[in-house]
Amino acid sequence: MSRKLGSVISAAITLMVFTVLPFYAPSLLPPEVGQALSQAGFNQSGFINQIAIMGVLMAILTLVKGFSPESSPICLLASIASSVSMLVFTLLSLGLGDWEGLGITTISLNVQGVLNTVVLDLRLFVQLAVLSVALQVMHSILVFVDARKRTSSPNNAGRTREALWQMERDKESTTHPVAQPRLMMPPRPTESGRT
Amino acid sequence: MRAVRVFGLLVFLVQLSSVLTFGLGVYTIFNVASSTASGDAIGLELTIDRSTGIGILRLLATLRNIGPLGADLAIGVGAIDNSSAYITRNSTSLHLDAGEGKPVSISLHIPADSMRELMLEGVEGYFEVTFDIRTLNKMVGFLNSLRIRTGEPR
Repeated sequence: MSRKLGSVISAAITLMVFTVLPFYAPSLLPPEVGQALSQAGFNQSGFINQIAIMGVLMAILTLVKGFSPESSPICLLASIASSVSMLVFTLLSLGLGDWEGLGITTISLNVQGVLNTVVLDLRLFVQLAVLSVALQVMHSILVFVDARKRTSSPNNAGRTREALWQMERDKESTTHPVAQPRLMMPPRPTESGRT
Repeated sequence: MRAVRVFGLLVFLVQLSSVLTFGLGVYTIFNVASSTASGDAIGLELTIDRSTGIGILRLLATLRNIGPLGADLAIGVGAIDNSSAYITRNSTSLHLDAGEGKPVSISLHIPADSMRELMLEGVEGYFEVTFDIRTLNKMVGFLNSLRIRTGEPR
């Protein structure tokens, strides 16, 4: 599968999961849950919009990443931006729309003189997300450096950067034969051949 | 090229372990929390001694952990006065291994003067019950605090 096709599929899945699904999911919740959440001061539509915007952004970055050669700075920047947007998405999700909580979410609900306060401490997952994004950024830089090395090898000396990128694109879009051609066996000698 | 692939594998493993940890931790916490939230598992009763006027707030609960990880619990009861300060409070903590269930009982003795004040009409006092559930070596937590108004509203 070429990088372009992979990026299109990946962007489509990202769009489905982060943009289409959040708009559809609230209709699956029982109405009491939605009511309780709004009483607790949770801005459901605002949260869904934030997630959907992040989904569109991540899908665009995935496409940019897939359609630009690995050795181009655009690919590197798109890759880093994609990792950072994933971190923002994690912060938004864990904080139920409030990314400034950095993993600590507080919900308060007052029903008939009973004040119910819930505090979720999910800082560990924020720390893991930061570690993961840092590693992803380092990986993107390594991929970029590696691709640069390949394009600047002595075989490619004298070619312009644009020509090298075009070569890289052509190499990616080349279809490989599915099966190797069979070796042709020499024909069996016939009776007439023996004579 | 090989180093890039090894690094990519490392990134994937970190992401996979993060997702697994999140799933297990949150599943455990919400399992224990749902056992505290069910009406049959928890009982809160207030008794006032007619002769002394002392109030006794008693919390009885049967807590169960049907999650895959062990959980640490801290349960507290308290009485809060008009100025949002604690009159008195009591707490206990316990550890529940995966699949384990334990009964918990805490009593809180409220002095007669404070008890009388809390029961006055229009007083903004509260009885407080808190459940602090933590798992993954206390790194992930869920705190539920219930404040029940004491005095009748004006």
